Amino acid sequence: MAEFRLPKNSKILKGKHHQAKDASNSMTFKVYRWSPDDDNNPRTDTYEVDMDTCGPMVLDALIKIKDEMDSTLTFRRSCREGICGSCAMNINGTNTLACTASIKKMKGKEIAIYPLPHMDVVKDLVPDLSHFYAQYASIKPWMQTDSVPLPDKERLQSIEDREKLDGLYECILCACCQTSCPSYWWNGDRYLGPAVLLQAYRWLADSRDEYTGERLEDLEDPFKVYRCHTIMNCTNTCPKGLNPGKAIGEIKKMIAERHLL
Amino acid sequence: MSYQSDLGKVKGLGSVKHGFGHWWMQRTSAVLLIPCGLFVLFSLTGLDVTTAATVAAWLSKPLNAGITLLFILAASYHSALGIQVVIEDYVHHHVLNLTLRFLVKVLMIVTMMVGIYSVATVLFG
Repeated sequence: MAEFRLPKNSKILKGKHHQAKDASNSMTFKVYRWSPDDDNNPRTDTYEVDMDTCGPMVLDALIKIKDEMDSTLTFRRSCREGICGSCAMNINGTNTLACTASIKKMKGKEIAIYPLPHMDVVKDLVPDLSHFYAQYASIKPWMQTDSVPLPDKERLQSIEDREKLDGLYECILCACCQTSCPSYWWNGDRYLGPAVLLQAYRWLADSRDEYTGERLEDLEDPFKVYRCHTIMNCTNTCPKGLNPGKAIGEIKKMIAERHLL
Repeated sequence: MSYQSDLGKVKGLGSVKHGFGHWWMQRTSAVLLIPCGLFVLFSLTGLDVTTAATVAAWLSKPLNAGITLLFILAASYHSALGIQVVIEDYVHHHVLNLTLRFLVKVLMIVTMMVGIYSVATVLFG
């Protein structure tokens, strides 16, 4: 059965409290902590961060915590401008990128930060994305062709056909949508999930690709695609403003066309 | 402990290359249920349903009987398809999963047979 309760050793306990020194304008961050190096349960540590000396985004606060308060805090980050997808995490109940999440826009005086939901945790805010990346690899995210172009020619694409990739090519594979989907929580081993399906549609929609039939054949499966019950958490949470729900709908339409018309 | 690669695990036993039929029938039966359901609902609310004879008299008309039967068959089929999805979603124990899915199909057939028998009895009996 699907597990609706956390196992005993995964219950989140109250952790340490780190006070900001001489701060008149502070913000409280409650951060999920877990380390594979000991047998302790996960906990939430509280950090009072001085906002007068902190940058505007949640990632700035996390970097400040790591630099000045607790160097053991572990998280991924790289570009700090919403293009690499490394700092995807659950902030105040919503999956988003810490680097583009403005602290000022958060409601209340406390910000709760957890790793992306329902994934194995490597450490603290770092989820294990190996399965997600393997699912991405399984849809063959590259152009597949049989025709051989002339060596001095490129594969041309009309402006209209190129526009069909808008809203798809911008996906940065941060896994925010993927891990917000209840269907992916319960059946993530077989359901490809919104991010991977959006990427699958990106290649189905590409006029230069010649393997549309094979791609659709491979996708048509009760679990790979049809676990999507149009819950639409994916579209709500995407930090890039994309619509994976619509992309999945387009895949279903293409499969329907293949069968019916 | 398994040394199988992540990609190997994801590919698993491969695509079963169906799933559209179930998805499509779930939607077409849902569309069919809208007019049939509304017809049965509004017809019955206009009747004194506490008296069996009144309902029997209404059901003995061929059009009413036909649409009611269509409603029973579509509702049974649609329910079975829907419950199958719920079982597939949440019941991961293989034996329990297969048993429940089998029972749902049996229940669907029984409901359809009872529906056909009941409507036919009133219509022709």
